Amino acid sequence: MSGIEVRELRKTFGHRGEVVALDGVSFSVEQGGALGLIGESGSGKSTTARILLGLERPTSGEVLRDGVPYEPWRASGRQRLERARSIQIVFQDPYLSLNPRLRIVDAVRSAAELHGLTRADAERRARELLDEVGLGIRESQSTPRALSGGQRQRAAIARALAVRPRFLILDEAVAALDVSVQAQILNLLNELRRAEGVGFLFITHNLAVVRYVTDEAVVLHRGCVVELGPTERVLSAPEHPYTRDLLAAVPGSITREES
Amino acid sequence: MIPADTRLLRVPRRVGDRSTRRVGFVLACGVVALAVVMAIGAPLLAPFDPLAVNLRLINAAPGTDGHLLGTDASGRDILSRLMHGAQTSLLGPLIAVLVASGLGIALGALAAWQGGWTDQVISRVIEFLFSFPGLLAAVFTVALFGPGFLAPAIGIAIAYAPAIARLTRTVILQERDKLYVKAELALGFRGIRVLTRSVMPNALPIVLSLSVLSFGYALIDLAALSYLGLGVQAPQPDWGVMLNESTSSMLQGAWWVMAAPAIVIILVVVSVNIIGEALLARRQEVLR
Repeated sequence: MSGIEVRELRKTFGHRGEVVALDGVSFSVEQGGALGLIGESGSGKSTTARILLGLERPTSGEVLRDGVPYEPWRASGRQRLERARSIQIVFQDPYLSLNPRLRIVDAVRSAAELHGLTRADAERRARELLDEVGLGIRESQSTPRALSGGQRQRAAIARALAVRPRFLILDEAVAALDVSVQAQILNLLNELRRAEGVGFLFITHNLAVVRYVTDEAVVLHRGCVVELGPTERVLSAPEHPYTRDLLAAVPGSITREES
Repeated sequence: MIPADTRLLRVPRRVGDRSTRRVGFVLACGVVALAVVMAIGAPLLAPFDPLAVNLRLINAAPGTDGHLLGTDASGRDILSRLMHGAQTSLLGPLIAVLVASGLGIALGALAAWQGGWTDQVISRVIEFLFSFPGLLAAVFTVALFGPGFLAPAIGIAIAYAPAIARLTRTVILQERDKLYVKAELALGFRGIRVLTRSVMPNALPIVLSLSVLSFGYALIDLAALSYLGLGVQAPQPDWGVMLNESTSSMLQGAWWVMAAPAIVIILVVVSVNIIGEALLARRQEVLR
């Protein structure tokens, strides 16, 4: 298949592996698809993301890209850039995810430049991307300090897109934003998916977000996949008791819609 | 001695309001600038030859025969000796601080960035050096290379490097965990580039203010070594040497011979501390 698949990922921490973060996690996401990775904090969502990004190596298990095993955590030299083009991330906290010393346009430009564009082309691409995510010239020229949370998150998305990634992980990427800003960002992401065929991995505990933007959902609980399937099915007819608890714990719209 | 525990490096309690602090900072910069001008311009500006002995005019009071600060036990002009002495007295700590900072930042950054056994080894070495009093380390290098100008400065540099390495390690560890570092690595930037171009510029200003502060401590330690006869050798003018030579004058009641270098040392050290702490406070303000 064309896309990314993880098989039986295990990750333990501590000298004797006493803390189990991932306990055999398997799922896949198609090119251009959108997968929701749901679970409470500590369920292993972020560890999975860090492994896919090559920031951490799993204790065992494998990652496949287009059906071929590959090790993002091993990538060096040219492979490092290839890995970066496979998958990018937008973090939850827009206040910490941008280098405070870099102007927004420089952050985006340097990423594009790293991936083979000339300085002039990279500059042009950065302007296009920033325009696309709705940041004007004035915001682009300033450092993150001068921007709001929503603007920073747009900048982080533009920076991730600068390398033309096939997949984008959104690690609670809208959780820190106002509801109205959340909706704008989610619309932007849906637009990107349609226009550029970028695949998405939404790491979140916000089920409304999952419903709005994903077609498939994986529910993680203590490092294990407890439920996996089309988002509609997982949210409307959960099979696992943990998923039901998770749904019941959400106040308001979602559960009410179902009843 | 440089404070062994870098946790002591908190923002100094604010004394006085903003404008008085500002005045203090400007005065401190003025004192340091004056000392530097004295050192560089000594050959042109000094009214007398700093080595010219005049046995008919020993321990002369300030103002006698054009000797603005008087003369010492050998009848040498104190002001001229202070000015010439500024050269070794300032250059020594400067070399010590530059070497200590270079060494400390390189080791601390390497330990923090690499982690694993690299960090283990470097951290053990740092701890070992910490258990070593700074002056003792300097005395060892003097024993190895002989007294003079350079050996004590290198000894002090080695003694100060661990504090700088440890602070560097701490701040880079904190910085390394920030999300923008992970984001830049995920974008495909090489680790060494992320370390030198992003992490260090963000983390190191606080280390540099420790470097500035340690300049003052190094000046005192090196003056102490000269005073003990292990550093710059008499008759070369050096503030520490001058203190050493002033003891006999002191016994004869000529207190100004000792007071002159002592006051100059105190003024310069206090000024450097004020500047270092102001830089530290400014950094903290930016972070807030």
